[in-house]
Amino acid sequence: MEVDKGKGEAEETRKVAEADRDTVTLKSSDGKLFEVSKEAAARLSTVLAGMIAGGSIDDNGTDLKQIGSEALENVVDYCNKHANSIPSAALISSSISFNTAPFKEPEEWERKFVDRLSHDALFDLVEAANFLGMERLLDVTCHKISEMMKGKSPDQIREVFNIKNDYTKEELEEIRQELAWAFYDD
Amino acid sequence: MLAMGSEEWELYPSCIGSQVIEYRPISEDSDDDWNGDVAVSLDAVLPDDLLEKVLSFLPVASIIRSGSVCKRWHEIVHAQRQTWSKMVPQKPWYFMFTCSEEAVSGFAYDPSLRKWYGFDFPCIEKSNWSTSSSGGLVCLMDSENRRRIMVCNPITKDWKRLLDAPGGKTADFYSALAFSVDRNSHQYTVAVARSNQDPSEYYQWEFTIHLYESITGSWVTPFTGVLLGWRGGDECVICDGVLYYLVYSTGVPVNNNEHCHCLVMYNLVARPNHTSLMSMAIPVPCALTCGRLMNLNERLVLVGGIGKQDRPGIIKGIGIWELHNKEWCEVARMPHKFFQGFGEFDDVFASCGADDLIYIQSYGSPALLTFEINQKLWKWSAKSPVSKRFPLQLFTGFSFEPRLDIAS
Repeated sequence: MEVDKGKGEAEETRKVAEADRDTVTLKSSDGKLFEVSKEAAARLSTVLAGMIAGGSIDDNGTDLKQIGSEALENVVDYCNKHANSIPSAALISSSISFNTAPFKEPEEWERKFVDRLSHDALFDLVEAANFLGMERLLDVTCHKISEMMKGKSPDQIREVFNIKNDYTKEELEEIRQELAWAFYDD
Repeated sequence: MLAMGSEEWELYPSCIGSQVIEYRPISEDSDDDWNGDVAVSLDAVLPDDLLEKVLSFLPVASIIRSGSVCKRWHEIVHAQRQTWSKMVPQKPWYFMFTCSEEAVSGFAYDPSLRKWYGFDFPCIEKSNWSTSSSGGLVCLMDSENRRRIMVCNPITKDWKRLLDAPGGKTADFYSALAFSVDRNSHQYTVAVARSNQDPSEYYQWEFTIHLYESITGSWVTPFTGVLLGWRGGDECVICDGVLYYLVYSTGVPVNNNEHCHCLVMYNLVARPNHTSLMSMAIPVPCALTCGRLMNLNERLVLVGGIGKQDRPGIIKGIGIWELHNKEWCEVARMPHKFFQGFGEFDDVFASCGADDLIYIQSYGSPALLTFEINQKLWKWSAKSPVSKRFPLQLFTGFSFEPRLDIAS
């Protein structure tokens, strides 16, 4: 009885210690470890929130096999920056889902955050955000890609994003005739 | 098809040169600061739903243009999937055309890209048809047969004719049209307010409200009443479940302080059979001409010409008010330089709006002024490609939200 009780207490203490930790460790597909604020991870990622709530977070690094180290570093960086950028009062209402809220323009730091990324890094981050259910990061990264398209002709878009034109000349002409007003200056 | 890039039209209107607000036109070929690595194809990386998300941040015209990038993009652009409803709010466009007996043809102004497009507007046959816009759709009422009502999406060109509206056979009365789209369900309501003079009583006008709901596909007539000393007109709007309607005094005003317009309200949710509309009527803030009602994000806004004290028919300025707890609060008055910018102000002008944008246009000139209500910012549009060919030529127009995600 005594021993069992002691064991129980020890277990309890360990659990408390684990719950008290305010970071979680994430492991990229190439085996690199990253620490991220537990609060921010749970608030910004539905997938991480589920893992934290479900106790499937591994102290030695939770495996995220789909995400490379560069993208994961950016995810973690984003989470930590996000944790620092909002006043604590906002944390209380953190359960508000970005999913249902109307899109809010990226804030200055979010802009800077995505502006410094290369194409590849940006696309990888979009995929990582999508995989982790990070609605806000997905919005901010997709918004950045849309800004790169803004004001560009279809030709320029193909060039910038390396997209193959699979239309025949005739097909393209047909589309343009149909919506002539939109193709005023091509 | 004719269309004008903003670059060519930096100064506008040319007659008022120095009074023009400076702006930087959005360049069509500005280079972004991307880092130059083009090895990975965006197309290979992004699944359909994410590509939709990316495109949904663009102005409508850019989304449509992106349909010609490749076949997959075209499918996504024209699929009318649910994602487009997450499209960022689009600033309303303005369709401007000449008032004439000829077929309606005109230009649409896109304030996001500051461009005018030569635009074939679906359905509309005559320039004097009534219109009302909401949530990406435009409702139109034939001026000769006011039972004939159509709903269209000007961007997708999708349209349909509704079941004929009740009433509206005789020609000597007023019919006002209001239209409201529910942004979540995409269902819509059409309200037609008809006002008919009693043949035996000069001061007595019969007033009827007919309602069409897209969800039932049928018309009902929830209200019929009599206005004494007041008549209806052709101006009404639906805002937050209430039909607002301007009525006009049929009596001679005793003095200049007496308001000859009033706003009446009818609750479209409760739909009372019997209610005294005039007992709840709210007088307009001052003697007005060309009073127009608009719904700006469920705020009721009134735009009108402010008459001169001694000659109310001549306007000295244009005012914008918002209804707050049944009282009018002045939002802005058009600054004198803009008022003068219209050149010879005809005293008759069109105004309309949606979201947070109001358009004002004098009938006598194709100049178009915008007012952003949240920032209280007045700004000329890029120069309109519509030109005045003869002195008595008149212009009009209306606004609509450009959306891909809604069908009639």
